[in-house]
Amino acid sequence: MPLAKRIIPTLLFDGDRLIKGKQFSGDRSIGHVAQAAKIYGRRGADEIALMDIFATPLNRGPNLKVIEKIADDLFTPLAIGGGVRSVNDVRDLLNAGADKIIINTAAINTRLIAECADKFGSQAIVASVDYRVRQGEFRAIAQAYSHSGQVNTYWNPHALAVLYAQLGAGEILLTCIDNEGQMQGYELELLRLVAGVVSVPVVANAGCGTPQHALEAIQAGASAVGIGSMFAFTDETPAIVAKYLHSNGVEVRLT
Amino acid sequence: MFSRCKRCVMPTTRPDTAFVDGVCSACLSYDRRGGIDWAARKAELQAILDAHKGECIVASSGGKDSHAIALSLLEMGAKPLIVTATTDHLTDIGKRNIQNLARFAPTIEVTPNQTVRRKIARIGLRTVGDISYGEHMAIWATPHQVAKRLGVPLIFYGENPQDELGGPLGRDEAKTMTRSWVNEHGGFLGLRARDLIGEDGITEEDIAPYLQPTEEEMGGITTYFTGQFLPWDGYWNAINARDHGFEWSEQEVEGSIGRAESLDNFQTGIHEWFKYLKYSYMRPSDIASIAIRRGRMTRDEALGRIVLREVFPWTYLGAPCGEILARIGVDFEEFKDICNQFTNYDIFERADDSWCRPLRLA
Repeated sequence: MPLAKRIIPTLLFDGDRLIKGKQFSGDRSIGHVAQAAKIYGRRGADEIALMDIFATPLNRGPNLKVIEKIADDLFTPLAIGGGVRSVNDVRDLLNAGADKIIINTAAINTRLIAECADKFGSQAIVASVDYRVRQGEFRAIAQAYSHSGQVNTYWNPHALAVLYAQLGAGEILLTCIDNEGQMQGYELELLRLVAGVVSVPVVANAGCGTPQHALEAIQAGASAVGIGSMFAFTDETPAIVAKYLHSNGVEVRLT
Repeated sequence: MFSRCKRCVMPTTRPDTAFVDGVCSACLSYDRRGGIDWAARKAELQAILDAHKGECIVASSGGKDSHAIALSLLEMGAKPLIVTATTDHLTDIGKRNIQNLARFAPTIEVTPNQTVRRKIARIGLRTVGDISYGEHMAIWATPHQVAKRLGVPLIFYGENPQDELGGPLGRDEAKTMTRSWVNEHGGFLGLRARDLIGEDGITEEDIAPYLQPTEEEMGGITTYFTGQFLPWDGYWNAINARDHGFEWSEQEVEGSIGRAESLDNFQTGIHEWFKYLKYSYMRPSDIASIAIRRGRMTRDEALGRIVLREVFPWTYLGAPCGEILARIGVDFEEFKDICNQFTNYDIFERADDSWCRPLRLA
């Protein structure tokens, strides 16, 4: 039996405020992150991803207090990202109750992914690749960004994803910054490329606006779909997406 | 951290509210209102009404604003049908005010299954800290469902709340209310009607009255914010309504200021209290902010009143908190526990009595 595809609400926050931006602008505060996590825990999500998107740009660590509170009330697997700088941060977060740690900036040009995978096991480490696509002179060029999309790393996101998989990341989280908050569908081209070569699960993130978009991402090779705006701003629910995927022959966990 | 708008008293913790240099979006949008050509807007409204032979629905709660909208539309020659979605726990004064509306126009009151409604209030309180969750859904869904069934092409709501109370930048100019607007700004806190199926034995049929008709089903029906066509002032609406038989509360409403609003639902006090626990503000901040912008109150005056009035409503419109909770099957000990779960301890100090007397951290 193939592994069930997962539906992952992605919640972005700033310390404790729940935010939802467009293309990583993050200017809209829409509530409290602990409450939102609790609600999504009941909405039948397979996993919840929480990202403190201002932690790294503001040079602060993860807000352990909030994360502990969230993990306390939650029975859904929890992936946490934002502000992770070292092996110690990863340990603290796992102790606080996170199941997986999402690493982005600190993994660029370091061996952090490998060290963490050795220490805590691959299953706990999610390597995140944020990228933008811009029109080059001859073709579209994708470039990976760090610091919540603020710093161009000049890495090819495809190469970066492959490298992370080789270093031992248990999962690759692919986020197209241009599509974030647009609800116009995922960026499928890079997703297809990455999912085609890495052996670990690839999570497609950013851009989902209808259950149909989620299906497209899974058909392009994603093992899971990250969904933010659609769950926050429309009346689609994780259960509806699961049902839709199921009716299209995708293996999912139905609640 | 907690602070307030430099001009009014809107707290920065209010969800989905943009602040520019310390000034909230509602103040900014009030600034722009001076430049609006209201005569042209009114003519626009007249044209809309004429195009549909005045046939329209007024989405109502039976409150002061519903009265004011109905009266304005009648003056403009419309033939409104007033559709009231019954609140979670209707008060006597609320009932009388709904009946008062029937003196001016035909009214329909839609009351979905009350057993289910109580379950929704209980689930809402426990999961999202919002006892009025059912009401939020019903306010949007009911008039649209009625319009669809009776084939009425126009629906009028009150003001655009982003215009009056704040929202994301650039959203205050929306004149029509679409389905996606409601889903984005309707106050559903990340939970959706369909999430409730299966909880506490709620079936798909049970939540049908709370579902929005889809865009296709709504084809030909347009929903407008009246406040974008007629200069909006809640206080003037209250006076206008009172002159037409609308009853004010005898005393200032508990946990609020003023006597003219939030009169129709015993649960409103608890709803407001959770706003306080989550974001550290209640209705007085809203009302005072609106008054400050219009020069009816100074900011200092408002801050003083807020300290006195934003307190736990042990009774609401005279009904004891415990009785209101008992009606939805939540006992007081559990209630305290729920309060604790939803208190934002990044703003408040944790203490034994912080569920009813939380102290804001400096």
